[in-house]
Amino acid sequence: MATTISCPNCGKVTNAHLDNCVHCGGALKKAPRHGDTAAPGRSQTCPNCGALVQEGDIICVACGTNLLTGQQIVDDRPLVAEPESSGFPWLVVGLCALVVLVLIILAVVLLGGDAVGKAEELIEQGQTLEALEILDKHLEKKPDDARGQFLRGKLHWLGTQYEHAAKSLDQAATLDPTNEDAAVLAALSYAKLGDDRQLAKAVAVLEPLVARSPANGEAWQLLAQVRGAQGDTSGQIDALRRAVTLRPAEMRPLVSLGIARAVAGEYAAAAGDLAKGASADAAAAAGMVAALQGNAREAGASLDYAVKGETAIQKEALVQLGMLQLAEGSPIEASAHFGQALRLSPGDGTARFFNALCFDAQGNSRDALTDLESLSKGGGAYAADASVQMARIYLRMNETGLALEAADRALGLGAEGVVYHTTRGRIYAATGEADRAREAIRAAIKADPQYAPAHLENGLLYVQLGMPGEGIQELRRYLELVDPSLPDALTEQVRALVDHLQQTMPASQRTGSSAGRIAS
Amino acid sequence: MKSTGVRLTTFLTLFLLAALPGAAWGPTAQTTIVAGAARLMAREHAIPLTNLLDDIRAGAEVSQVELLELLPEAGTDPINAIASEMYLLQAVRTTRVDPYYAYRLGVLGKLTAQVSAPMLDAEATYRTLYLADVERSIGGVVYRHAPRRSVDPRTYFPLVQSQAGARRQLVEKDYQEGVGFRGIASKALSEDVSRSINAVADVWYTILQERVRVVNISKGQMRTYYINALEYYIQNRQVKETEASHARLEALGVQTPDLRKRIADMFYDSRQFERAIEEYEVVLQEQPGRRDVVERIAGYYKEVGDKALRDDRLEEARDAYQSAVAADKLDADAQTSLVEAKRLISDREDRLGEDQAALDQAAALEREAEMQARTGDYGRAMEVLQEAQMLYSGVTTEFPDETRAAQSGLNSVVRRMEELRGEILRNAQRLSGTGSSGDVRALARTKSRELAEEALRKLMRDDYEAYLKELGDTMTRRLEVR
Repeated sequence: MATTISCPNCGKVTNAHLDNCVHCGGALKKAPRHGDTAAPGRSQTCPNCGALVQEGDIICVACGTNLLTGQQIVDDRPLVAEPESSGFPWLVVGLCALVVLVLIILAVVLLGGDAVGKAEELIEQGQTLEALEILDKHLEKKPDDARGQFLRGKLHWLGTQYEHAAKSLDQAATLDPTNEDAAVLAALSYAKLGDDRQLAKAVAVLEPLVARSPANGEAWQLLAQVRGAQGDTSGQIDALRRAVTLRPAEMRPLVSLGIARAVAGEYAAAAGDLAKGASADAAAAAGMVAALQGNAREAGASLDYAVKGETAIQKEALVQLGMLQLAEGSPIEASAHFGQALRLSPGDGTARFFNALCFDAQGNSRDALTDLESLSKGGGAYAADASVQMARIYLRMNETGLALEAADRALGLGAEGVVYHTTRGRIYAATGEADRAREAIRAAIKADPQYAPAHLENGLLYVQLGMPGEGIQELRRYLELVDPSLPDALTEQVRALVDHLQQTMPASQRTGSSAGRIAS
Repeated sequence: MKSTGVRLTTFLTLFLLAALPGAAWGPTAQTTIVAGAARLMAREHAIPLTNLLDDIRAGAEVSQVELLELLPEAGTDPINAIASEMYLLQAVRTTRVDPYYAYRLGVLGKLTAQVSAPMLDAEATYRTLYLADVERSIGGVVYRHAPRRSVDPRTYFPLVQSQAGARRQLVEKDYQEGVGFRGIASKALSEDVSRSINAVADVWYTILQERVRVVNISKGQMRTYYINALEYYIQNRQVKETEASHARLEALGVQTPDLRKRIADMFYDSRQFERAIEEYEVVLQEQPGRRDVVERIAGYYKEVGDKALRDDRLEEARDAYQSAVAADKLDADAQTSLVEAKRLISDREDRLGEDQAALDQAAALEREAEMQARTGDYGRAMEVLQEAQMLYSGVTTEFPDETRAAQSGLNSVVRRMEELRGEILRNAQRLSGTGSSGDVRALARTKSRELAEEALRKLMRDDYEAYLKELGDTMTRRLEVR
């Protein structure tokens, strides 16, 4: 059944299913809007045709809908020309309706033009919701009102409604490209939303902005941060370089640039940038960069400074200090830093694990085992490593049963690698299980042929098995590979053992054995 | 051949002696006569000249030239020369006969023997033959005693000479007839020799036993005597006698700087340098800055310094050069040598210091090695011992004490290393786990990198959040104003 309506533009009856009036060509339908489902009687637009109605109206003059019941007065008559015989009264009524309609339209136009001002007045009076209502209605009808969009975006921003804020501000920035605040706020709102899609929108707002206003340092800096959040470190660095150029007096862009470069692996450049920043965070970053560059001394100095200044990454700085000192062979100093880190974050596995190793290095095996045990059973990132270390400590204490138990647990936790295999080989050698020891050491050497202790254990196993020639070969390999500066390298002792083994061999075999190695 | 040569030499000597006026008795005969007189004096008069027989013989064996130097008149008037010498010896006589006095008695005995010899006026040819025969036959002479007589040379010797020359013609005749010495000469030899011995003994007896004649012996003669005595003693290194003579010379009161210089030179020439320097110093006290003395002293000390330097006695060399410079400040060589000696000492002290430091360090390393060994760290102990071994080996051999200490330390280190090697083999399986401390370091390094990267990412995130907040606040403030 054809439904008819009165054209909101010319007042003539026309088909409601058409988009445009057949008489005047005016638009019959508004684009449907999400949320435009106000209850009848409360809305200021007709729920059927969307035309503006006055408060207190009962019938929509545009479509004839009863605004109280929602029922439309329908003309079921076929759409045919009216006979001329109906005559004059209908013409007068039509003209009157037309005049009324024009008046209504004029009122709506005038009223709409004041909506933003009214909203501003309401905002000033603290009636933000009412202001927002007015703006919503206004912008529903006039979505291209840049001022209205900005004001609505502002209200949403202040109300931390970043999604709505982002839309309005984006619209405002599009409508008025000179409003750079709108663009920055739109991007900021998108960034606050956080997900990748929103970050992309932020970039889409900011990139045209910096293209139009290349001197806008704020925009460059925000663009850099958003690119960084996207993982576009290269783009981040480019933008930060512009920001640094534009804001030479500010430390933040410089430090941000240093950090970004460090993350990108540009350590030398990063160190240069970070050296200019006087903050604890800059020092922390500089310390981390120095650590990555292998400069332990400089790293230590920077991190000390950062820790004293209470950097944002205080715990990480303390742990890093500890690890640098442990790597340098200073377990006492290292332990002090790990202890501080654990006071800040008692659950930090890295600090606890390495602190346990410091205990062990200081001869405090009991505390070391306690911590390693908790890590091992805790199942965290260090569970397997902790189990391996426990096995080594037990082995040193000649507790081969406990050592094997710990090694088995390490295996269950996914332990692998040369240290694990070597430890296992040592356990088997200690328990006299030569075949298993041989197998484990073979696996160790396969995992890392340059690992000196595996060759030593291999050599000792050969000596134990009465094969001095092969033993000498492996012990010599150990001497070639081991770092002689290690406190337990015992190179002279091993060399003396080799010499002695040489002397025990027949002269014809002394220059080296032709027998293959266990692991070869 | 050799005996022919000796005979020829003796003959020529005798010929020359015979050719000299007044010369008689050959050298052997003269010595025999003088020595015989000495023994006679000891036996008959208890004058202990035999103790000084060497000095007496030395006097008897002086050459004719030396004799004339001591007794210049002996060539022209030997009897007067004897008289003068007797007076002199009486004048310088003391309670004891000292060696030089004995020497002068020997000289006087030689002259007395010559004067009392037979054949003094014989033809030179026969006299020569006679003297040669006496030289061969003197050993068989038998002494014929005669009582001691006081000698007045002017009356005594003419008589003696007359007795000695009584058989001259007979002897000459024997030689002319070919009988030679076998004739009268040999038969009269004991008598002739005894006459000379007795003459010498009489002269000495007169000097030693009789009252001193009041004869005017000048201080010059006495001084000459004492200087000669001094020279004699200095040459023979008779220290006590030297000092006694020196004291007598001093007592004589005839010392002059030149005389002191001469005495000092005697000491110096006989290589009694310290004594010579003492004398030179006295000269310098009397004549400060005397150039020849200063140069002599400085020269001596330089010689001492040079020798000490050659023997590597550096401090002695330095002290000697120091003395040389002190003696002669203008001696540039001494100055240079002193600087060089000081430099050498300083260098040596440096080297000594280095050696001692090396020894101390090596000893400390040995102790450290023992501590390592006690804790079972044999490898480290071996390393430390090797360091000690190197230090001990580096000690020089220049300083004996340090060299011995280094050698001892080296032996100890080598022995201990051998012991440790044995320990190592016994404990081979204890090496298990060696070298694994690097695992912790390696793990720390790996995790350090990971942590650094993660920390930087966290910093970047924090930076992002902080910036959003900061910019948001800024924008909010800006909106509130707008």
